[in-house]
Amino acid sequence: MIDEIKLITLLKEKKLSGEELAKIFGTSRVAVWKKITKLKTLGYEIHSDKEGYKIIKSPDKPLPTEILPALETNFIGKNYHYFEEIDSTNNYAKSKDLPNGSVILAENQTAGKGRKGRKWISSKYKGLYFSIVLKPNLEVTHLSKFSLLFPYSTFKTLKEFTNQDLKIKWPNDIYLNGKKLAGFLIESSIENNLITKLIVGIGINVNQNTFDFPEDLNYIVTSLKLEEGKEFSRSEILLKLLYNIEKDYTDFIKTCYINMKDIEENLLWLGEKVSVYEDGRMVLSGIVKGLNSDGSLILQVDKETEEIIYVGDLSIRY
Amino acid sequence: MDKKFIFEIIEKIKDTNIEEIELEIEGDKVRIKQYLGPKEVNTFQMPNYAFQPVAEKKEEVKTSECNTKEENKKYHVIKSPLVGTFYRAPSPGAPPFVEEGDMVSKGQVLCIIEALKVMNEIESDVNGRVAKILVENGQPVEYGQELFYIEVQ
Repeated sequence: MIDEIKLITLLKEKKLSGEELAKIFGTSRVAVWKKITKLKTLGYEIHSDKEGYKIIKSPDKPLPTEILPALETNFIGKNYHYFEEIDSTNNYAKSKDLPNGSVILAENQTAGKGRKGRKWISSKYKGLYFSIVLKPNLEVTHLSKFSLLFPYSTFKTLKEFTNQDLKIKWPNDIYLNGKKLAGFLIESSIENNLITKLIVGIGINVNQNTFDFPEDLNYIVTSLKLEEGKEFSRSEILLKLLYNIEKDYTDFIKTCYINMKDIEENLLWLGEKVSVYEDGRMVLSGIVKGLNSDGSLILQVDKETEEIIYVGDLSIRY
Repeated sequence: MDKKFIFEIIEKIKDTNIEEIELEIEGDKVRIKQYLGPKEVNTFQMPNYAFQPVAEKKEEVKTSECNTKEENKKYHVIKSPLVGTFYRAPSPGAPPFVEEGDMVSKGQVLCIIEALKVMNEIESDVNGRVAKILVENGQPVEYGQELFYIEVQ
């Protein structure tokens, strides 16, 4: 068997002949040739001449062969599942018994979902759509904090790729220049008062163009490319994100504490008047004051009254 | 019903001629009977019940406890493991996960409880029939609140 990752690593460094490769992997030259053909179908550009093979360009796809050798994490992503197409990465994660830290990524989701059955549009090869399986075994009282934890790690990661107006929309969306850039769908399992499993679904719009989104969404969604005017390496973003998530998650598991002040500073519409909607119905309006330690939102509804919000969607529509 | 309360009542009626008392508090029923000795068949009236031999008194406590046990055997209760909002359907307008009378199997999703946008699917841990749904869609639920009665098959 030829270890694909090792083969790619070797061929990225230098040119090697079929004979040399056959020797390294202890296989036949035919087996090497077959593998090279497979890499080409995956999107690797391989130069070949009499002297041998060399990878001149890797595909911008978060393939296991690109992600696994470059991972800087201890457990998140070590078990990595890559799909060209799937119904929903969260559904897949739910249906299998996967180890802690497993990552399921799909280039396209045919039934990508948001909260309450809302659709998530996944344009093939343009965004990052993946789920992380985590087994925190923490008391259920800490559940709400996870709602803010993952968006905050994602926010910090995306900050490394843009200097523009990046914000966290309470509780778990990321906005760039006032439009949605990333969303989360977190699903949990609880047994005997403990959070035994979390499935953290993350969707990030990276290289989408205007035409990749449905027309009616163009005013409310965006991608990194649309705001920055250039393409980004999805693998690079994913690798940094998995690293940051692991770090923040590990810290949180130890302390059960998140500094909500750090998140608060980066809240969309902080100090502004917003309305809270439940199932399309406006239930409350007030000024965004900040966050409580459990992640709930503090809304000043009049001079004397502050309301604590656990449910609903924020909007600046009245 | 509080056990202490029941014992208090027993103490109170011990030295009286109350033969039987039945109470119903918030759906819990308790009936306390005491044996006052053989009933007087003749017309001769005992002027004072204090003469009655105390030792012969027997107390028989019948509480609804065994009834509840039977209910438990019949109905398996699914409780909320967390504080949040109860949803009977995966999305607004979608058909509910289950209706009363539906047969459910172990591991089948009964509802979602949302806590700050973290979605928690509550599964049935038994095979059976949904006998009763105790919470309405969109209502807040407390930790430990009863959500479903399942008639175990």
